[in-house]
Amino acid sequence: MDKATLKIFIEQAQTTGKSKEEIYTDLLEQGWLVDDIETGFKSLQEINEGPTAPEDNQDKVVKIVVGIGILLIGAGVFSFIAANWQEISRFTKLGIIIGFMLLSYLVGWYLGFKKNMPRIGEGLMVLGSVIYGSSIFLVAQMFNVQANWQDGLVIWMAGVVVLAMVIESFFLYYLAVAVGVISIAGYPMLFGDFPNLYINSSIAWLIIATVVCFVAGWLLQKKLPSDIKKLY
Amino acid sequence: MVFRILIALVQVIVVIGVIVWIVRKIRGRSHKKRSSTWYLEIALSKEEGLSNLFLLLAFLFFGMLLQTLNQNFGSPVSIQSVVMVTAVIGIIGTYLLRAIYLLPVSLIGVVSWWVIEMADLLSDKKIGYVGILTGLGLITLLFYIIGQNHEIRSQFKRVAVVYSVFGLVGTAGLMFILSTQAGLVFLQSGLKDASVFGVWQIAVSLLVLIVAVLAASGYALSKRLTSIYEVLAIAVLAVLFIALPFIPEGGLLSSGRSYGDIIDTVLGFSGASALSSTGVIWAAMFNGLTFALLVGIIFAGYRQKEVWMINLGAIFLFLFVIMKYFDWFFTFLDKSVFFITAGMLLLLLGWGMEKGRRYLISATESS
Repeated sequence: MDKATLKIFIEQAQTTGKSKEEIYTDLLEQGWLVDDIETGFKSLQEINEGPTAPEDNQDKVVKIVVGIGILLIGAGVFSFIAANWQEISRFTKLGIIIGFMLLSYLVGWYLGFKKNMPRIGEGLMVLGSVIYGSSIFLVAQMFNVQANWQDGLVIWMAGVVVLAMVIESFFLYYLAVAVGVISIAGYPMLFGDFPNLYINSSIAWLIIATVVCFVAGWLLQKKLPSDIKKLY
Repeated sequence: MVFRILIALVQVIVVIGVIVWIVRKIRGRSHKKRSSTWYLEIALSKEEGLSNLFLLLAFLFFGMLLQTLNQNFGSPVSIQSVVMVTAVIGIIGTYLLRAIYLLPVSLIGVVSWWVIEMADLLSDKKIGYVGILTGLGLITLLFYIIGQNHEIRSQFKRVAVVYSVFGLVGTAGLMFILSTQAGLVFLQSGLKDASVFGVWQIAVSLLVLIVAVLAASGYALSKRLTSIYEVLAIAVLAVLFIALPFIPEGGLLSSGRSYGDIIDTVLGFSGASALSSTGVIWAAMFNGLTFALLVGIIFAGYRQKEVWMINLGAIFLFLFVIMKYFDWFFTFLDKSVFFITAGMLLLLLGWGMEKGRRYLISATESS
C-alpha cells in the first residue's frame, strides 16, 4: 500500500464511524509506521480544513491582543468621560467624542492600509465604530433629541455597514448584524403585545434600515463563488 | 419595573447568544471543503452566512415598515395581515434571492397568520377550535411533502430540509400533544359547538389544504421523489386530522372536563383519566400512530440516506417513551418504584437506541 492508498484507507475508515484509535490499530497491524499514519491523518485534515500554518496561530494571538487592547481603550475613554461628565462643557464633550472617533479611524486606516498591519488597523476601525455608536446616544442625550433608542441603533448599524463595505471587514459586518438584531428585538414587533402592536418609530429610519440591509446582503451575495451562488 | 428590565435583559442576552452561535458556525465554515452534508450547514461560507443575515434583517425591517405605514394610515388592515404579506414576500425572496434564512421565519409567519385569523373568526361565532387543529395537521403534512418535492434538484436541498424539518417536527409535535391526557382534554374542549362548515373560511382553507396535500403527494410519487409507504403514511395521518372535527362532542371524556383542567392533568393532580369508551379508542389510536410515525421517521431517514432524519426520529422516540411513562405510570406507581423503573428503562432504551441508531447510520453511510 502506498501513501495515497493509506489516505484513502483512513478516509473510508472514518466514514464507517471508526475511531482514530481503531484506525491506528488496523494500520499498525498492516505494518505501517506511526509517523506515516500520523502524516496520513494530517494531510487528510489539511484537505478538509485547510492548512494550519503557524501564521494562522500568530494571527489569532494578534487578534486576541488587539481585541483586549480595544476593550481597555474603549473602557478608559468612557470612564474618563463619565467621571468628568458634569465638569465638561457640551461642545468639549462633542469634540472629545468626535476626536476619539476620527483618531481611531485615521490611525486604523494608516496602520491597516499604509503600514500593512491589517489586524491592528481593523481593530482600531472597530473601536472607531463602537465610539461612533456610543456618540449617537451621547449626542442624543446632550441635545435632548426626542427619538426612539431603536432608531439610534439603526443609524449606528447603517454607518457600520457602510464602513464594513468600504474596508471589507467581516468583523464590522458582524458588529452591524448584532446592532441590527438588537434594534429589531427592541421594537415591540417580536416580543410585544402582538394584536395591539404600535410601532413608535420613524418611517424614514425603517426605510433606510431596510435598504441598507438589503444592499449589504445583495452585495455580499455577489461576491460568492459561482458554485455556492447556484445553491438555494 | 424590575421585571420589565429583567425581561429586556433576557431578550438581549438571548439575541446576542443566537448571534454568537451563528457567527461561530459561519466562521467555522471558512476554508473548509464542502462536505457531502453541506445542506445541513448553517452557512456555506462567511459571505453566504452574512448575506443571509442581512437579507433576513432587511425582511424584518420591511415588515416593521409595513406595520408602521399601516398604523399611520389608521390601521386599514390587521397586524396579522401585515405579517402574512411580509411572510409571502419572504417566501418569494427565499427563491429569488437564494436567501435560505428567510424561509423558516416566513413559514412561521404564514402559519401564525392562518391560526390567528381562524381563531378570531371562530371565537366571534363561538365555534369550537378543532378545525384549526385539522388545518395545522394538514399544513405540517403539506410542508413535509413540499420538502420531498424540492429533492427534485440538488440545488434545492437546503430548502427541502427546511420544509421537511417543519413538516416532521410539526406533525410529530401535534401527534405528541394529542396522544397525552392533556391533549385529549384540549381536543375535547375544541369540539364544543364545533363545525368546520360554521365558518366558510375554515372550510375553504381545509379544502385547499386537502387538495394541496393530494396534488403534492401525487407529484412526488410520479417523479419518484418519495416512496409509496411515505404517501400512505401521509394519507393515514391526513384522514386522522380530517376526522377530528367529526368526533362527537363530549365523546372523548366521560366527565365533563374542560380546558381549565389541563394544568391539573399535566401535573398529575387529577388522578387517572376519565376516558369514555370512544375516548379509549381515540387515545389508543393517537398513541399507536404517534409511535408508528416516529419509527417511520427513522426508517424514512434510512431509506433516504439522511442521517439527520434518523437522529431526529430517535430523539422524538426517546421523548415519546419518557412522556408516555410519566403520562401513564406517574399517578399509580409508588414514587421510588417509578423512578427506579424509569432509570432502568432509560438505560435499556439508551442502549437499544445507541445500537440501532449506530447500525442505521453506518448502513446509510456505507450505502
